[in-house]
Amino acid sequence: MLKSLNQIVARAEGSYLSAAQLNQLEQYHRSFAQRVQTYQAIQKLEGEILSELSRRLKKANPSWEQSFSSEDSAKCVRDSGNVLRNCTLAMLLDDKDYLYDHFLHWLKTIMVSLDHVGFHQQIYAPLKAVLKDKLTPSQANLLLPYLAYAQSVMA
Amino acid sequence: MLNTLTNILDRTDDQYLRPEHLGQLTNYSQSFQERSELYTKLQKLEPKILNTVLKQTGLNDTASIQEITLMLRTAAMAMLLDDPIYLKEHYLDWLVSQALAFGSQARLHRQATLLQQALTKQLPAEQMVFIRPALDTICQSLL
Repeated sequence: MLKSLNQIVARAEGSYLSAAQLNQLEQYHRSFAQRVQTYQAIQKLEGEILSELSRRLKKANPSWEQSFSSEDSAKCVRDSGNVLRNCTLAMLLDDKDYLYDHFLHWLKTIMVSLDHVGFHQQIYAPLKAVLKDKLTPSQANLLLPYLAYAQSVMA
Repeated sequence: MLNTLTNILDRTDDQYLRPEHLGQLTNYSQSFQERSELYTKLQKLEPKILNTVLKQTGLNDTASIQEITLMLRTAAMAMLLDDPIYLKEHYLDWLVSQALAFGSQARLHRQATLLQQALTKQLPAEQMVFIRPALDTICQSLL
């Protein structure tokens, strides 16, 4: 929405917005209360979500306990938290471009340079499953498209 | 709000938005429907308002029509966006430089004052609340 709004405003110079452009903005603002409520729910549940994600990752990959140090595990949880927070912000803004420009582009560069893309990919399926468990269906429906987008970019 | 939002996002640094920032965005969002209705109304009222102001200035040249039209449209957009920085960067800086370059400050100030008066007559107080800040800023910048 931020990028759309910037584009709409840039093109408007000296003229009125079209009915379609105004309608696009109205639709976003009508959904804003639910977006804020979802944003706050995720913020409140973040600790629980990340603990559960860590538990599920360890259960699905028992060999990780031997292969990775506690520092690696902490980094994995930190990265998962960053993914969750940035996807949540993108959901609030209704803006996948913001997510890519401000986070995913950077994250992908880092993961490729560290050769961690495959490892990083493994957080998405369990994270989506945890979110479905912890959030209401309408909250999950708002957030999950951004996680799916992040997953596709990071593939 | 566009610039406010950009400033808020510049400071998030992978953290959640602060409650006061979320409150700011929520307040704006809650007012958006009213802003949008006023924006549409201003678009419909434009010919009437323009005629009123032109009649009072006693001028009916193309330049005056364009100046008043642009003033109204920019104020309407600034109201919709609730964004004084948009008003300054997209209009006022240019307007003031034009006024100084062509010595048209007094004429533009009169147009802005008459525009505000015409809108005050056409709009109920609860709608004027939204657009008055932009109109005040335009008038003050031409003093």
